[in-house]
Order: sequence, then structure tokens, then C-alpha cells
Amino acid sequence: MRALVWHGKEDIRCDEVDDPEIEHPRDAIIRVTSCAICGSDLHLFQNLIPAMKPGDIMGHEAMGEVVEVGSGIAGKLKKGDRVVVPFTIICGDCDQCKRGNFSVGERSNRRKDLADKVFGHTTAGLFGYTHLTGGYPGGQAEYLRVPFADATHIKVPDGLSDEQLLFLSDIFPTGWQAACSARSSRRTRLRSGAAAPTVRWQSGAPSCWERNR
Amino acid sequence: MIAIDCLPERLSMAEAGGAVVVDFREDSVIERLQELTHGKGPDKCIDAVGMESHVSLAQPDTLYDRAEQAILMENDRPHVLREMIYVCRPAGVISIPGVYSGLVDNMPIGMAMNKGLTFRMGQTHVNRWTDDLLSRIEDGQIDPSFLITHTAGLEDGPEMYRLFRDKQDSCIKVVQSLRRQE
Repeated sequence: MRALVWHGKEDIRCDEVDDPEIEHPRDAIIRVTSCAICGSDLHLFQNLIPAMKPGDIMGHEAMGEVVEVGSGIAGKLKKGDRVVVPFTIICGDCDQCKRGNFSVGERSNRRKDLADKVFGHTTAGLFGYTHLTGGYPGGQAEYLRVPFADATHIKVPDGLSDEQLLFLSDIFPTGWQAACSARSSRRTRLRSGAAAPTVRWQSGAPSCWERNR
Repeated sequence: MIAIDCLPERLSMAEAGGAVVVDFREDSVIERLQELTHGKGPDKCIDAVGMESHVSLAQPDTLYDRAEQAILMENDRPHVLREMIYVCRPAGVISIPGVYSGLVDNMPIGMAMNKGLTFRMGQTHVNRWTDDLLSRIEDGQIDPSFLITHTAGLEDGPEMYRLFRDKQDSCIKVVQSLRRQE
């Protein structure tokens, strides 16, 4: 398949590489229909996060069609499903995933050893975003292997265009979360009253998330 | 809502969305924020810039950061973060989607502590929000595709990285479509 491959500072090429394969029962393979370049990809283009290796496939904003699923997907995803792929790889059942703290999931980073050393704790695996976050091949490619695919997906309906849906992978929820985080001020908490919202806030779930649920 | 930037295409997009805009190349951010908030400072500040903030002679700390980053003494250029701590109203909130990668120097933590600021930050918990956001797209409340300025093929990727990095051709967002090969 063709993919955008990192070779070094300011050197990204469209190369022919091996197609991804199912490596684990919870994997799925997606045929990418659209992907985007993120502002944070430019940090890697400039080699400002020194944990890329030549040959790494770029991209963490992608969507497409499921073409193959592993044996452990348990009916949660099937061939032909249309999905947006979130840039954070989530297992769905570690302590952090259960709390909704998906970007700091405890099991999806396959370079946990490296992350533990650098950050003190591991954070979630990310697509195409250095070996600190697992060194997973990214979605600026014709095909993408999605680990923990039974949890790591957003099913989307037909009838809406790729352009309308693609940014659910990163920048739309990122802007939303940034705004919700800013909203959780003292005033918000006082207006909500009593201790319960404060406890909820301290446990890591912003009040606007609770409202949205 | 006040949006601060120096790229005309992004300022116009923010203005079209209802924001009051400040071009930091033309105006003093600190003075304009003082005026716009009647001397109080903004209650909530979002740093959507992160580690590659603009380097400018008018902001000496950005030159220092650029030099430090070049010799790997500092990973990030946190000018926006320093500025937010300075302008944010006491007891306000600083929200940081970033992205930041590692160590920063000269962080005015004493200023932040004494002003009683709250910091909230992190990579996005994407699936926490997407059920709600998808339903907003389906209902027609928002169509995020307004951001797209460039559509290209995968093979155009290397060129698009350069174009986007250099902000040529008013590039705000590149989407690569792979459907044309079907």
C-alpha cells in the first residue's frame, strides 16, 4: 500500500510499504477513505519530538471502512462498517478507560517501558505519534491496523460526508474538551452547588461531560 | 470570545464565527485584552498553540526559547503559556490542549500560584465526547468541514506538509481523500 512515511526532519515521503495485517484478535483493518494533516503532525515534521524513527507511518486523523476484523471483536465491529478512528487507542477496560480518561489509558501503549521512564507513567497509545506513545503506524495510508478496535472506533452513519465526520478523530473533540475544561471554573462549581459536583470534578469528569451524558 | 493570531485567514475565520480578534503583529495583546475586559483580564484562557509558538523580535522570550530549543536545552516554546498566566484574571482557568512535549524554562509559577489560577490540560479523551458531537453533526448544529482549505491525494502529502508548515496559500486544514482511486 501507499503511505506517508517519516524519514527525518522535513522529510516525509509517499512510499510503497507492506499492507498491515491482523496481529491480535482485537485488531481490525480499516481501508482509509480520508485522512487529515494535523498541526501537531508539523511538530514531527520539524523533528521537535525526538522519538520518531525512519520508516514510521504518519497520521492520527483518519476514517474509512472496516475490511477485516480479528476473532476477538465479539460482534462490536464488522466488515463494511464505516468508522472514524480516534487518535487515542483505547482498551476500554483499564481503570482509566472506565473513568473516561481515554488519553491516559493504561494498556494501549505498547512502549509502556519508554513512557513510564519519560513521563513517570504510561499514557495511551496514539496513532502515528512517536515511540513514546507506542510507535503505532498512522492513518495517512491506504490501510490502517486499529488495535483494540472493538473500543477504538466511532461508528458513523452513511448520508454524511467524510468531510463532515473526519474531524471527530481529533480536532473537533479537542477544541470541545479545551472549552469544557476552561468552563470548569470556581463559578461553575458554586453554581452547581454542594459537594457532589466538586467530587465529580476532582475525579476527573468535567461537569459539562456529565451534562452531555 | 477573543481569538489571538497573526494569520489573516485564521483571524477572518474566527471573526466569522463571532470572535473578537486580535492580531498580535499589529496590537499589544496585553493592552488589547485589558481594554476588551475593562481591565479585569479574561476569566478563561485556552492555549491552542503549544510548543511551536511564533518567534518574534517584539517578544524577546520567543527568541530565547527558539535558541534553547535548537540546542535541545528546552523542548517547547511556551510564550503563549507565559502570556496567559500574565493576562488571566485572578482565580481564572487556563486550559491547555497544547501540544507540549517536555521541558520548558522560565515558567512564572509564582505568578500563577499567587493569582490562584487553575490549570487543566491533556490530550483529548476523544471517545468521551464523540457520541454527543456526532449527534450535533447529524442534527445540523455544526458542520466541521468549514475548516478545510485544501483537499489533496495521498501522493500530494509531502508537498502538503510543506505548504501547511509554511502557511502558504492561506492553508488552514488539509484533508487527503483516498476515494478517487476507487
